[in-house]
Amino acid sequence: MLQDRLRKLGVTVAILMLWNGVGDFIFAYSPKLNGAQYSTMMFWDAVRTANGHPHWLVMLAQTPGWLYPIYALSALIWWFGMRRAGFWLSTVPCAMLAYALLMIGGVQHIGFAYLSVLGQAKALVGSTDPTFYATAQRLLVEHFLWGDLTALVAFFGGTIWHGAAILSGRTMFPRWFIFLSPLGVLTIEMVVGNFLPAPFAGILLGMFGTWFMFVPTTAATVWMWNRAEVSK
Amino acid sequence: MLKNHLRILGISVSILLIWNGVCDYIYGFSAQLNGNEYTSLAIWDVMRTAGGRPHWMIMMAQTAGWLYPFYALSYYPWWVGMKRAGFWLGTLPCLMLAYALFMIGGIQHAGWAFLTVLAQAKAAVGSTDPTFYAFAERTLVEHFVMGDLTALIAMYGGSIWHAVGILSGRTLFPRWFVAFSPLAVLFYTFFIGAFLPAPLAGIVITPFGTWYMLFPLIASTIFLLNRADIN
Repeated sequence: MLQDRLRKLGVTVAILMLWNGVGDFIFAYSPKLNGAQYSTMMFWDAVRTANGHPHWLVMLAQTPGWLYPIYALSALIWWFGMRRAGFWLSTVPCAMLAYALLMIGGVQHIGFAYLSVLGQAKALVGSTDPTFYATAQRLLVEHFLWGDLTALVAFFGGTIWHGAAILSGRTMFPRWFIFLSPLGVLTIEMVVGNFLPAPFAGILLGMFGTWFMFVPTTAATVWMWNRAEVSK
Repeated sequence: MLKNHLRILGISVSILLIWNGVCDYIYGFSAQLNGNEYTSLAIWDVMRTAGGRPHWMIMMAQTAGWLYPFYALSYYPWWVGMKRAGFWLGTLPCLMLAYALFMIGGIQHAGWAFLTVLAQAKAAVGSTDPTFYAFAERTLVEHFVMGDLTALIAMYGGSIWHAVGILSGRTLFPRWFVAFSPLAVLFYTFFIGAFLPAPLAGIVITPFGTWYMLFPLIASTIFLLNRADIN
């Protein structure tokens, strides 16, 4: 019963996460940037202009944000595989990751659109007041980062903690499963992505949030698919 | 055991909700508006300027958004009291309301700050390009409304559905308990607020979102703590 529910949950959430990839692609993919350039201000230029995409497309990119409360259920799948490690090594890291996803939907995925508002307006009607433009842009970024603060802390803190729990060997997952954990996937995509040329780097780095959710969710679901101890 | 959990949850989430009220006042309180004006475009002027309050204070107002995943726990007591009505009348409305709060934290409470950015910049350095200003403002609002769309549907749809669940008489709550439901609190806030003069109208209407969460949580928690059959 439980296993069947986890299977359905895992498959459903993983499928829905693919739509997040479309949103990431619109917000952050640039065919011109190589891996190294993704960690420079050139990437910021792509984000703050939404790569010159039209307004309707940026609106469309916001829509995966609506699904983040559902994406957060992926933490529940992990929790069932980790709960035997006890509260500190299962509930806490999974709750932190769930919190991060619950916040990221609104503050990041929908909020990215705000960062491109001035760029969108400038592309359509021009801007003759650079002082005002710069001040408004700075304020937008400050409000974005501030709103995102706890999500980022929970995201990185929860990811590392979750990785530590897998490495403890006390969960249902073997230690090598760290490579398929959120920490493993994040590290792999950052390292590999850094060496990729354009336009491939964008597929890995522009959509890093989607891979961060999709690969671990799929891996955990497949791992627990037929294990009898899941229900114990 | 369950009662103890409900007691701890009810008290801790209620305390955290008070901070939401503080932040609501920063975003939307105006000492000049009476109740009727709160439902006119005058409130939009307050919101898009945050009443002229400084940047640091608007940053502070965002912080309540961080707590919304905890505020969403306020529907757990409701679910405990409604689950015997079944999935459609018990679980679903509570899920919709929880979804609304999950989204509102990021989109509305952290997001309102974005609506004030242009006015903040104008107050700081002036603005000599009205065309750009108007266009940027329109784009900001469109992104805000688009982001908020599902949260609004879940909030209003969930509130009505939740009240229907209570009125069905199949939950642990009596039918008259609809008077303490989120829908009823929303109704009281705007109905009473509409007749109040300034600045009382602002005190009642501005934190409508806080009352909407706080009063139903307190009511449902107290009700369940006095029932012997909830375990």
